[in-house]
Amino acid sequence: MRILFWISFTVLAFSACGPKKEMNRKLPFLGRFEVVKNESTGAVDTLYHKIDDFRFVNQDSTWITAETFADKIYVADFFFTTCPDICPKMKTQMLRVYDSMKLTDEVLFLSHTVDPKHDSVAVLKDFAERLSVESNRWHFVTGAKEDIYKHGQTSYMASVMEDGSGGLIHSGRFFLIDKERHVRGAYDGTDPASVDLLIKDIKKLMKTYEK
Amino acid sequence: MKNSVIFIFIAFGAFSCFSSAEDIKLRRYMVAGERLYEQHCSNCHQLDGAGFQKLYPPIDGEYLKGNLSQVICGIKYGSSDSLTIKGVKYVLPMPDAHLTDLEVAEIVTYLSHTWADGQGIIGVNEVKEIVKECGDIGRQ
Repeated sequence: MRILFWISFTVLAFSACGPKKEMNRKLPFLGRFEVVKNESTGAVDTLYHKIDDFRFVNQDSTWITAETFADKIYVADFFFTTCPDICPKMKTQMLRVYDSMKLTDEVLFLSHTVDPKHDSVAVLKDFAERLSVESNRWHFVTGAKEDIYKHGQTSYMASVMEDGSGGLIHSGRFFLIDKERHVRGAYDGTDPASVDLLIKDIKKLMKTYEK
Repeated sequence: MKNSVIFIFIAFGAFSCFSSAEDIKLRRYMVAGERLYEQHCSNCHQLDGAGFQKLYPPIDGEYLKGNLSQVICGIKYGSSDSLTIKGVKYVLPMPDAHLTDLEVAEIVTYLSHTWADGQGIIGVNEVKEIVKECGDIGRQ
């Protein structure tokens, strides 16, 4: 009986830690980082992994670059319009994030197609309209296939590739990017619980910019 | 006392036998159909059949009744034809999920009972006949 008491006590004690820990969790910086020493001042600085410069075209035929996201937080993913398996789930979830950020202009969305051959500007335009989202908040971009794949792999550390038999493999993750172009989180875009965490993390990140 | 309990059990057992073989078959189709729907259809058409925005069409009872053959062929072989439901034209392709005729029959039976006033079973033999006539049009 006494043992039972201690077991339940321990379980209770630990379960109480759960949510609190979640609240205090600081957003990580994903990717490789470098520690650099400033020779003149002697100060040590950490250089975190950053999203490279890029230049793609969106559903309105507008150039989209890192400048487009200057002073903005954004959520990025990789998809293609005719993808039958994980994309519909990802898009339902991304729309949920988009809808939850309706009241702020501080958060933008960036979806890269991994099938630029099919997903032309016109196809992306139609897709965005069918999704009923605003072009200035959610950019669907296309470009040269090599550029998109390379950008996905180096900037987002995402698996984006062809499977060798004409199919396409792309990560189902949503990436949270801060205003300094650092990757602050990667979430499973097909899992509502993981996407709930993303929504919380966006709000948490927004708070860090409040003056 | 004990005897009467046993009697009640036997009575219930006998009563449940009254549900016909057809009913049992329907229930089997419905259970399998629901599971298959969740696995192969709900990603796009959603669990409640509401579809998603103007990208993926809702499961529509009227459309189903009026276009049963097209629906069966679409589920069996996939389709790249557009379709219009309640004034909205949907253009994205439906993939070929490589389902057997029986699985297609189970799904369509489930659809017709859940989103239309389904009567009985749309059986595997009926599906087999329809599938023969699908042709190449719209095949993925």
